[in-house]
Amino acid sequence: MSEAAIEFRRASRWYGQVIALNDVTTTISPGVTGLLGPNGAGKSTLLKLAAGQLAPSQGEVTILGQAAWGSPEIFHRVGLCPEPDAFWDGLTGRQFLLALLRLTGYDEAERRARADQALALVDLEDAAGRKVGGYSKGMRQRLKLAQALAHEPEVLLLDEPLSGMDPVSRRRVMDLVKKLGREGKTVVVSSHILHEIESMTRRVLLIHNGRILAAGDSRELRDLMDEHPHTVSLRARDPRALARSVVSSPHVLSLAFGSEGEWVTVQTARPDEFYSALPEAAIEAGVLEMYSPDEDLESVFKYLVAR
Amino acid sequence: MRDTSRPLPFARAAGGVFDLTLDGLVWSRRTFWMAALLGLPVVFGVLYRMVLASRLPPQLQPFDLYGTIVVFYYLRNLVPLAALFYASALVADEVEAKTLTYLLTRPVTRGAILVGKFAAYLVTVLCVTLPAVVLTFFIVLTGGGSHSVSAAVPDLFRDLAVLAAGLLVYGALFTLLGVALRRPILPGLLFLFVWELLANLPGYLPRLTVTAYLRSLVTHRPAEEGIGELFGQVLPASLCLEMLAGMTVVFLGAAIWIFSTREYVFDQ
Amino acid sequence: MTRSRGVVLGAASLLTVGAGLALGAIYLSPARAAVGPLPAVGLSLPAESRFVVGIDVRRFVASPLYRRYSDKMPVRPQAFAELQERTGLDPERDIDQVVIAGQGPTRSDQGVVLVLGRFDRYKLSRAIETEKRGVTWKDYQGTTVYLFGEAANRRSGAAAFLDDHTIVLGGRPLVESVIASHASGEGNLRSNAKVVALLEQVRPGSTFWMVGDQSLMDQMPRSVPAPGAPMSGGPAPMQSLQLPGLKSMIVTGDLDPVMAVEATGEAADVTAAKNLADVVRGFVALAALQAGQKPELKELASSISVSTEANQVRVNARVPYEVLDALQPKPRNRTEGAEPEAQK
Repeated sequence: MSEAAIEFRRASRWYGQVIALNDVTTTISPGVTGLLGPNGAGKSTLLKLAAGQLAPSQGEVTILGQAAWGSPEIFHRVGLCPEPDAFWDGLTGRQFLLALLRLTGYDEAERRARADQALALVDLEDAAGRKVGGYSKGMRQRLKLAQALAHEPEVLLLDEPLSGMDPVSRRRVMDLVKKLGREGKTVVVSSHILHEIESMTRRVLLIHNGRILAAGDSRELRDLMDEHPHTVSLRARDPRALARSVVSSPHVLSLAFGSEGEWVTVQTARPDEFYSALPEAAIEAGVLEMYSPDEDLESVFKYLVAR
Repeated sequence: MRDTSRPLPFARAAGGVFDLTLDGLVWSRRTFWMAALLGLPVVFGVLYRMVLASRLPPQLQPFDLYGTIVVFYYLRNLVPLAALFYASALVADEVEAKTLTYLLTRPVTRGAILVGKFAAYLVTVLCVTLPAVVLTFFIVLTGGGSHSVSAAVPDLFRDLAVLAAGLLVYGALFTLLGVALRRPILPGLLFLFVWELLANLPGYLPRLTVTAYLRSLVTHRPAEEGIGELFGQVLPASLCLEMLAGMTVVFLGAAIWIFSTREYVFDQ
Repeated sequence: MTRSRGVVLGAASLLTVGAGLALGAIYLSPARAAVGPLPAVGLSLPAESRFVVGIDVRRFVASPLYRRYSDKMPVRPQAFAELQERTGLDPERDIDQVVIAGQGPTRSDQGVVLVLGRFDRYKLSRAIETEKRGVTWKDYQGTTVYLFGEAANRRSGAAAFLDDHTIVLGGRPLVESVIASHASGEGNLRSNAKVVALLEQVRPGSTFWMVGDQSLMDQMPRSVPAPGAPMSGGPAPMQSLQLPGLKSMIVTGDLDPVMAVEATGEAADVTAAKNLADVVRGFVALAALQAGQKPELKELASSISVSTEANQVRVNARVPYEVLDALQPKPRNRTEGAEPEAQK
């Protein structure tokens, strides 16, 4: 097993009476690790501890063999993509990267080269000369990622990196993360959406109420989830035609029409197979909208915690 | 070649933060309003030369008027207020904008971050204040003839140095307040308009203020009423310089220490 | 270059240009830096000066004191009118400052006076030359020196224009010394470190001020008559009180809105300062005790405060003009047999 890049040894963090992280012992090795948990589970706290933004109230947190808190030199080799959407809006995208690369110790020529490279990686070359204040949410998210990547760190900590991105950008970022993992970098990606994490890695850490609930392969988690009925709601032009095409499927447990008539709510034990079969049915019935309350892990965690 | 085992050298790190902060300070609304306030005496000077000079009593010489502006408008009011509104917000603005994380996740010491920001504050306020004083000087004093200007030139340089010292020491103090307190403006105002009144009292009490040292360094002593006139002390220049330098070092050092040990948490 | 740096550079340029103009103004119109309240030309005063006195005539003339008492002053207004007619000089309007320097009360011939203001130099010179009897003049280092009194000897009084704004008056040797110092630009008085140090402690803006160093203080009386008659049955009082010596003295005063005088004396040590302060407080208390005969004395006494700080004694007096008015001697009723109004 590769040497751990990040180690938590009985690490706890509390704010007054609130325990945000409770006696966590875990190691994160090179490769991509997904950090999963609902909002308020402690994902951000864990990431901030790893990134040296917080000191543990108890225990130890080390990154690349050094204490994370109070060691600014680790940021030569660590990159953080923070969650808040915050920039110095008066700067252009390029100026933003150049300023931060300067604070990472690069000379002017290398700063320019790295900034251009990072902008190309996140597909922001065309917008690099525009002020960040004029960027869309997705562009800002990509720029945040660019500043974390620009100095080619060994460890990347990404806090909800796909938030606000369009599908094409999400795909690009996911591919990039997988590539970095294959190159031996340690990438920690936090999210509350399981299939996003699954698209990037199978190694997950489940966190809930400040504790590590489970750690390991995402398939095992998926198996657990598969025992939990998955609800999908669809709005279609011809809801009855949709109902007719899905009801015969063996993994559909139940089906109900919504009060307004356009909605059909399906419960399935095999969401993957259901989604695979859905496009054909969707074309026939004219599906307009779809959502699943079980797509985030809140309900799953409730289920897992209850178990 | 970067040495990745250590943070960036202090000066280099502070320089990078300085440039980054300077952009935000110079082009802010705050600077626009500060420039307007600090430039008001220039407008008054023009008004004085065009309209008022012939109507004011002859006892009020141009040099006296200039001295009054320097002491009452700049030294006792605008300089401390400019320091308060800029310096107390050096870190607070980054916290509010949630951009501090970017600085804290660079291989730079927190001390370098704070010093870089402080230097940017100082350069910004000096650029806004000192030219206004120079312009006021020339506009007002040329009314008394070239002899009047040349005789007052040493006072001009002295005034510029004292105002710069005021921006430095008040800036250090309010930087400390800004990192130590969540809401530093009110305590800052209380300090300026209540605590600093000690400078008007007899004995050793004035030595507990900042303004007593600054006032002692300028040569202007415009007439004032009340206890200021009664007990106003002139402290030795060497003592003033030592105390101002010492206060700057202590305040800034404390600010760096607090900033280095504090956690900053931003949630969406 | 970023825009911000451009702004900083612009401001720095403006500052540099301003500084350059300021220095240029000095070069074109040389002005030696003043010391404290002393105008630049005052640095030409003799280095041996033991005391320097300054009066801001403009402030003095504008003060309530002058407005109230000008008609009682020794110099009659009529004299001012005649002076103005002959010379164009209106003392109340044209004189800005008077600075007096000397070596002490016992050396009255070692004093010099600078008068600063706006003069019609030609008219004034003609008036001196044509209307003053026994006046001679000579050239000294390019400056015309007017000599009064015995013909051209060293005991003459002298006067000269240092420049269009300054007249120097005094004994001939001192006037010539001042002229030489002014012409060379070296500033004699600067070499008198003690007096210069005292001048730097004076508040500019005062209506009148005085500094005196130790050699002046040594010439002042060291004892004062002891106050009070012997109490019946009590021991005979001391005939005089010995005052602790002072190393220096600074006096400043303002006349608007009240008559305010502050005297700061530097004693030999802390004990001497306390002793002197006690003596002064004693005199103030005695004045207050006289209130039975003159109530205004009590008010005067209460307006005086004495404090010490290390080896310095500070006496501060703020006297309202109403108290001064009350202290003035009342005019006698010349009509015999007339009863005072109050008794009717």
